[in-house]
Amino acid sequence: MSLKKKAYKETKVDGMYIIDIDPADFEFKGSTPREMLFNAIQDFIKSATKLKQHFDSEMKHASTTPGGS
Amino acid sequence: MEKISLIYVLPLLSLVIILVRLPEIDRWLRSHYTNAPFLIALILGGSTILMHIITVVAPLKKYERLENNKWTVIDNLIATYLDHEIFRGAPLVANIMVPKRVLYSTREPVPVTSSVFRRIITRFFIRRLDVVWLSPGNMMNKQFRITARQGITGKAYTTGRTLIRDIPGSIDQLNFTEQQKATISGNGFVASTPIFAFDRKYSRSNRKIIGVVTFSSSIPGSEKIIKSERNREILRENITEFSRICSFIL
Repeated sequence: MSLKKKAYKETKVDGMYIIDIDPADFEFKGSTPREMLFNAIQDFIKSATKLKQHFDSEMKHASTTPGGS
Repeated sequence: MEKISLIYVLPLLSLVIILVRLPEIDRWLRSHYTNAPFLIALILGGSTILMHIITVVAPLKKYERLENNKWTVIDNLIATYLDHEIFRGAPLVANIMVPKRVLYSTREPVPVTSSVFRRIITRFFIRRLDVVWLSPGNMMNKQFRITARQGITGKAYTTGRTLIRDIPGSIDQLNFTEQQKATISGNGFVASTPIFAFDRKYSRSNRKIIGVVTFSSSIPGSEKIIKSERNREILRENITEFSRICSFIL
């Protein structure tokens, strides 16, 4: 993960979820811009995979009907 | 630029000397071969053009190709990781918008109660958000164009924060005109985050916002996805990672 680990904090205003974002929290790994871009892409892929796994498991739970004959 | 222009000086100077036909030089050249001035002029002219192609045109073409490839990188990322795999039945549409200052725009609604002067003045020097990239396989209504003071995307741009909102509950709070509202489905959710400029000198992002990334799903019922805090947290993490990639590319 290339964002500095901070507890997720959001504010809800008029139904909208607002999350503060500080560019200083972005950590760029690598010594050249190309390397940094490559690492950022890798981080995105990891995060997207995590998102997919989370939703897959959530949908699995939702589709499991309790009991029944 | 000055260094590059030096490579043209010698051949062009020789070319001019031959073309103005200075008597001594012309006589001396013709004493070797009758058509020597023409041949030398042809070689010098040709070599100058060739040098220009090699040193200026070819590298520029290469950079143009690289410039076009940046979208290919994003296309592939999105096609593989967002559209097809993540939300089954509720695919995400991603877009990147960049601000553009325009002299006059009638896209923002003006309160009927405001004075004529105010109605006119608010239409000048508007910051419009133009779509520069849309995830492959998706289409956007060309009539749907917004300013930096409209929609979740506009708010994310002006506030510099990540915003997540369901559309059915917010459609009337987004400062859209009736015409704009008619062009969107009114379903699903939207998540937007600013793209911060990347400072190559210090290898870090600065506070300047150069664009906005928006992930949205317009499938009816997909707004339920953002009801869970955990879902919003992971969605925020993902969109922020994506905006970080964009800060390198834009």
